[in-house]
Amino acid sequence: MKRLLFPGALVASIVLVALAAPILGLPDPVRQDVSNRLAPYLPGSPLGRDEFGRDVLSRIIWGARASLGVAFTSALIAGIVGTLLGLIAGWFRGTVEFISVRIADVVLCFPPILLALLVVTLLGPGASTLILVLSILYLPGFVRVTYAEVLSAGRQDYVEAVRALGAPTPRILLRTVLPNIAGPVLVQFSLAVAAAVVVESGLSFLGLGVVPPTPSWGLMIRGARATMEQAPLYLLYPCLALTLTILSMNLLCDALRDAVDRKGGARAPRLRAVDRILPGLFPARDPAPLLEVQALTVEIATPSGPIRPVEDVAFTVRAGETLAIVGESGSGKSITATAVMGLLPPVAQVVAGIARFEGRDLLDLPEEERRKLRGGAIAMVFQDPMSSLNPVHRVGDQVAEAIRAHREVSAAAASQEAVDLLKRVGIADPERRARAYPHELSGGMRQRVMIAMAIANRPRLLIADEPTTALDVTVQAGILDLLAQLRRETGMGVILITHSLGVVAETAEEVVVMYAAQVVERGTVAEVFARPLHPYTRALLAAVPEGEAEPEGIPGVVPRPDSWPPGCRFAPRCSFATAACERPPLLEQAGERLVRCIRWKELA
Amino acid sequence: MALVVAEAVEKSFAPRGVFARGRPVRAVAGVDAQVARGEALGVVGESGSGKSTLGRLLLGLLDVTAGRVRFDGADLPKPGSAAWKTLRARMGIVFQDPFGSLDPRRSVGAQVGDGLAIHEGGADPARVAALFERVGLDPQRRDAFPHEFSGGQRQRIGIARALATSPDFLVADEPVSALDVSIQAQVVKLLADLRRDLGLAMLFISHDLPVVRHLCDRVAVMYLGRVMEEGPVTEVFARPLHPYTRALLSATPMLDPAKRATRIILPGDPPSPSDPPSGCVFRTRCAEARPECAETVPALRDFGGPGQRVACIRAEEIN
Amino acid sequence: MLYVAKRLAVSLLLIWVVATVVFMTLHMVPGDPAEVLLSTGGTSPDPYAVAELREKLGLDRPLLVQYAEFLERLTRFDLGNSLVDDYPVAEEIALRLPRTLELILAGTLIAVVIALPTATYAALHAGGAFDRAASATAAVLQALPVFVLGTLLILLLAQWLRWMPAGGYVPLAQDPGRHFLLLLLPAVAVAKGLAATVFRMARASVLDQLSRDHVRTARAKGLTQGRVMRRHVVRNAMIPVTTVLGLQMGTLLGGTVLVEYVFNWPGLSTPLLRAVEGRDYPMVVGIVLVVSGLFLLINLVMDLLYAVLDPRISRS
Repeated sequence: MKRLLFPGALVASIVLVALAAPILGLPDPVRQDVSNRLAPYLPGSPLGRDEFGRDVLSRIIWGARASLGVAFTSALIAGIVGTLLGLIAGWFRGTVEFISVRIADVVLCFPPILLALLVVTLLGPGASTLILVLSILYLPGFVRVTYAEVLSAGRQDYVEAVRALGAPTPRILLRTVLPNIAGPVLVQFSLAVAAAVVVESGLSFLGLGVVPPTPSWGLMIRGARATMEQAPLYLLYPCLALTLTILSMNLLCDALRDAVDRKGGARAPRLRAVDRILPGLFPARDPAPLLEVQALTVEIATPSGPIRPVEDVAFTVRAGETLAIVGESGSGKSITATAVMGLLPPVAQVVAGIARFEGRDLLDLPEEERRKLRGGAIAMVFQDPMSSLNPVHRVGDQVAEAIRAHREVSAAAASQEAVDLLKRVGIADPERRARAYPHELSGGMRQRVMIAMAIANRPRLLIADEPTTALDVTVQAGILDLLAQLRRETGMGVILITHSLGVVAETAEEVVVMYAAQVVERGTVAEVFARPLHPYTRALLAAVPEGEAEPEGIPGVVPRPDSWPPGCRFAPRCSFATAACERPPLLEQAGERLVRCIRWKELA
Repeated sequence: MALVVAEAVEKSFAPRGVFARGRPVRAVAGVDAQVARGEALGVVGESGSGKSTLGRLLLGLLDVTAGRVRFDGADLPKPGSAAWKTLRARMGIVFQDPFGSLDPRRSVGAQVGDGLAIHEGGADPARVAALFERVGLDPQRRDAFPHEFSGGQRQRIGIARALATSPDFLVADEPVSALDVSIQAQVVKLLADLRRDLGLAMLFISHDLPVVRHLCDRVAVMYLGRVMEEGPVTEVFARPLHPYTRALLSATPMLDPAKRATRIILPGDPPSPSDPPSGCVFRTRCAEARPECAETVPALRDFGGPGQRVACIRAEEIN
Repeated sequence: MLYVAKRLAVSLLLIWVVATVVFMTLHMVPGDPAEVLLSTGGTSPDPYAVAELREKLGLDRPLLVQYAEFLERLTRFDLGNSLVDDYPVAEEIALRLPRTLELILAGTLIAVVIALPTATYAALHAGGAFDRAASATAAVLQALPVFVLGTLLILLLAQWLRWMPAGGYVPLAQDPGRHFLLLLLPAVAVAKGLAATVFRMARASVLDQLSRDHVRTARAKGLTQGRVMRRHVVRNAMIPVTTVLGLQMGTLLGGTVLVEYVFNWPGLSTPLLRAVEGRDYPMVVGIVLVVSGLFLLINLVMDLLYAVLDPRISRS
C-alpha cells in the first residue's frame, strides 16, 4: 500500500491540474501573438512563448487535458466493454466465449499504430477518431484479462461453494467473481491509460492525432522540432511533461500490480518450515555417527524482526540407519534438513550449531567444499518430484549431470550409467524413459528419477524430505520399499522427514519429534511409539486414526514462528500443563531417550 | 428408500477447444451407489479414481453423461434450473482445500450466511452465530476474513457454510486431507458429531482409509471410475475381497507392528482414464489377473460378509 | 512436427483474417466509402471525383466480387496502385521494406544484447546497487516515448554536441561507413522500448527461476554455480522472455514508423504517412497488410522457438 502512495499522488496531481486548467487563470492556449514569437520569458508566461507566440505553460497544462481526456475516455470504454465481454465469455463459455476471444485475437494481430493509421485514413484525424481507435486497441487486453481471471476464479472451490448453495448467476458474478478479479482489471485499466497516452502523443506528433490548434504534447513536440536550433527548451518542456506523466503512470501500474499480487502471496503458505530445538546432550553411542548435529539454530529475517524456525536442534545419524524427523507443518523439520544440506534460501541463516559429517563441520566448510559434498557424499530427495525436476531437460540428462558434477566421466559413459541407475530404481524400459521429459512420467516414476539422481554418486547419507507426501498410497509403498532396499544394499544413513507417523513406524529406527522449532522427544521408534514420554508425542499418536480407539484431536492450533508461547511451546494445547510450564523446559535425559517436559516423570 | 440413489451413473469429459484431439475422459464409468438418511458412505480411491466426480454427480453439480441420480425419490433436475436451485438448500458440500474454498474478499460471517441469504431471503445474525457455535468457533469472529484463521478453523467455517440451510445430504470431499494430524482428528470428530446430531446423510470422499473406517458405515473402493468393492466398513476392512482393496489396505502405513500386513506393491502406473483397459480396469496391475479378466467388465455382486459386494470374477478362487 | 504444421496453419488463417478485416474496414465506415475518402471537413466532395474513385477502387461492383478479387490479387502480391501517382503499391513497398527491416533487426539485436546479460546480472544481485540502477534506467526508458527519445538524441548528439548526423540515409553500397553511422541512432531509438521490456521480463523470470524447486535440486546435486545458472536458471528463464519478445514486436513495428519519421529514414513510414495524410487508401492498406503479415511471421518464429525451448509444448 505504501508503494502506491507516491506514484498515486503524482498521477492524481497531474490529473487534478489538467482538470483545473480552466480555473487556473492561464492565458488562452490558442491565441497567437506573432510579435512575441519564441520569446524566452514574458510576464505571465514563465516558460515563454512558442513559434506562434502562444503561451507555453498554458499549452502544456491544456495539453494534459487533451492527452489524459482521450486516454481515460478510451480506456474506460475499452474497460467496460472488454470486462463485460470477458466476464460473459469466461462464465458462459460456448459460442459467446469463442466470439469474444477470437475478436480479441484478431485485434491483437495488428501492430497498434498501424491499425490506428488505417482508421485515421478512413475517418480523418481528430479526438473522436483517436478515442475510437484506442478503445478498439485496448479492448482485447480487458477481454483476455477478465476472461482468464474468470476462468481461474471459476475453478476456485469458493465459487463452486456458492454455486452449490444455489446462488443465482448474477449474484455469483457480482458478489463473488467480480470482487476477486477487480485487482487485475484495475491494473489493466492503468496500463491502458498509460499506453493510450503514448499512442495519442505519437499520433499527434505525426500530425495525425489531435487537430491543431488544440494543444497537445505530441503536437507541441512536433512544432518545437522545427525551431529546435533557436529554442531547444520548447522541445524539452513537452518532452519532460510527457515522460514524467508516463513514468508516474507506469510506476502506479507496477505498484498496483504488486498490491494485487500480494493477495495471492498471502494465501500461499508463508513459511516453508518451522523450527525445532535439541540441547547439546549427546549420549556417546557406539558406531561413530555419520552425521552429528548439535544446537542447530536457523534465523529468518522478516519485516517484523527475525524469527527462529529451527532452534537448538540436535540429532545423530549412523550408517545404515534411518532417522525419522517427524512433526506437523511449521515444526521446522524441512528447514533443519535444508540447513544441513546448505541449501537455505538467502533470507535464512544458520546462527548457531554444528553439523559434523564424518568428522568435518558442514556449517564451517567453504562453499566449494560443500558443493562437492552435495550430490556426492550427501544427497537429497524432495517432496514434489514434478517441480523438483527441470521441465526442459530429459530426465536421463538430469541424472547424467549429477554424475558428471562429481566424477570425470565421458558424456556417453554418464548417459549409460544414468540408464543403469534408472533401471536400479525400478523404472521399466529405462533406455526409453531416459529420453523422456519429466511431464511425460507419472508422479511415482518422477520420484524414482529423483532417487536415481540422489544415489548416482553412492552417497553415504541420504536426506529424504517428505518423499512420498505428494504420492498416492500404493505408489508411496513402492517408494518406501525402494528406499529401504537401497539402504540395505549400500549401507547409507537416511534422514527421513515426514509428517506421517505410520511411515515412521514402518521405516525408521530412530525418531526425532519436533514441535514449534524444537525437539520435544528423541529415541528409538519402538520405544517412543510404545511409551511416548512427551504429552505432544502422546497426543499425536492418539490423533492417528487406527485400531478401535476413536482418534483424539489436539485442541487449539500450532503456534506461528513469530509468536512462540513463552515457556513450554506445547503448554497452551497440553492437557497436563501446570503453572510451572510457563518456564522454558530443557531437553532431559530419560534413560536412552531425550524429552522436553518438566512433568515427564510423573506422567510416565 | 435411500435418500440419494445413483443408478449406473457415468460422466465423461470431452476435450475442449477447436483443435482438441483425443478421446473423452471417462471419470466415472457406471457406478451404482446409495446413501440412506443418517448414513455415511465412504468413497476411497487414489488420484484419477473418479471419487470427487462421483460426489459432484450425486450433488447434481455436474450433469450425468448416462444413468441417473435420484434424490428423495425424484430425479435430480438439470443444473441451473429453478428446481435445481431450490434443491441446493437440501445439499451441502465441504471442500478439501481450506485456503481455496473460502472467498478471500468477504467476511466469514457473510459466507456462512450465504445459504440463508439465497434461500431464505436474509441471514439472521443470530442463526449465523448459532452456526459458528455449532462448529466450535467463536461467533464474535464472524466479521473477520478467511486469512485470519488457521487451516482447521477454515474447514470449520466451510462446514458451517454447508450446514446453514440444514441440508439432508452432505458431501465432504477430502475435508481433512490438507490438515495436520492433530487437527484432522478435531475435524473428523466434528463431522461425526454433526452426522449423529443432525441425522445427515453423508458421502465422505477420502484417500485415507483409517479415517473412513472411523467415520463411515459403509465404504466403496473406486479405481479408474469404477467401484471395485463395497460393503460395511467392518467387513471390508477386516476381510477385503478385491485384490485392489487388499493392495490399498496393505500399503497404508500402520503404527502398530502387529497390524502390519505384508505390503502388496502394485506394478506399473494406473492407466489413463481416457484409455482404460478392456474388461476389468484393474487387471493390468493385478497379480491375480487371468486372460478372461480382459473380456468382460466384472459386475459388482454380492459376495463375502453381509452387505459386502465385489467386482471380481475370480473372487471365489482367490478368497 | 505436428505442432509446426498446426502453428503454420494458424498463421495462414490469421493472415487471411487480417486481410479480411482490412478489406472490411472501408465498407464498415458509414456512408459511401468513396465519399468518405474524398471528404475533408464538412464540405461534400465533387460528385465526379467520387464516381471516378468508385470506379478506380471497383466499389461499383458487388461486395463479394470485390472481396474475391481482392484476395485473388493478394495471392499474386498485387496490392493495387496508389491513388496519388498510380505507382504500384507492391513496388513501392519492395523498395522500402528492406530499409525498415534493417532498422528493426538492428534495434532488436541491440535490445537483446544489452538487456539479457544486464537482466541476468541484476537478478543475481537483486536489491544491489547495479540492480537498482538498471531497474530505474529501464523504468525511465519505458516511460520515454520513442519519438521523444529520438528527438532528444538529435537535440543532444547532433544539434549540441555535433557528434552525429541528425538523420538521413545513404545506401550501403555507396558508403558502408556512413550507412551504419546513420543507422546507429535510429536503431538505438527502436531498441529502447524493447530493451526496457526485455530487461524487466528477463529479470523477473530469472528471479522466479532462482526460487524454483528444480534449481534447489540442481544445487543439491552439487553442480557448480555457473552450471546451475546456465542450464537450470537462464535456460528456463528464456521461455517466457521469447513470448514477450514476440508480443512486443507489435509495439516495436509501430515505434519504427515514428523513428523513421524522426530520423528521415526512408523506410515504409514515408509512403505510409504521406498516404494517410493524402487518404491514399490502397497504399495504406498495402503497408498495413505487409507489416501485419510481418508481425504474424515474427510471432510464428517466436512460437516455434518457444516450442524448441520448452519440450512441454511440442511434445504434449
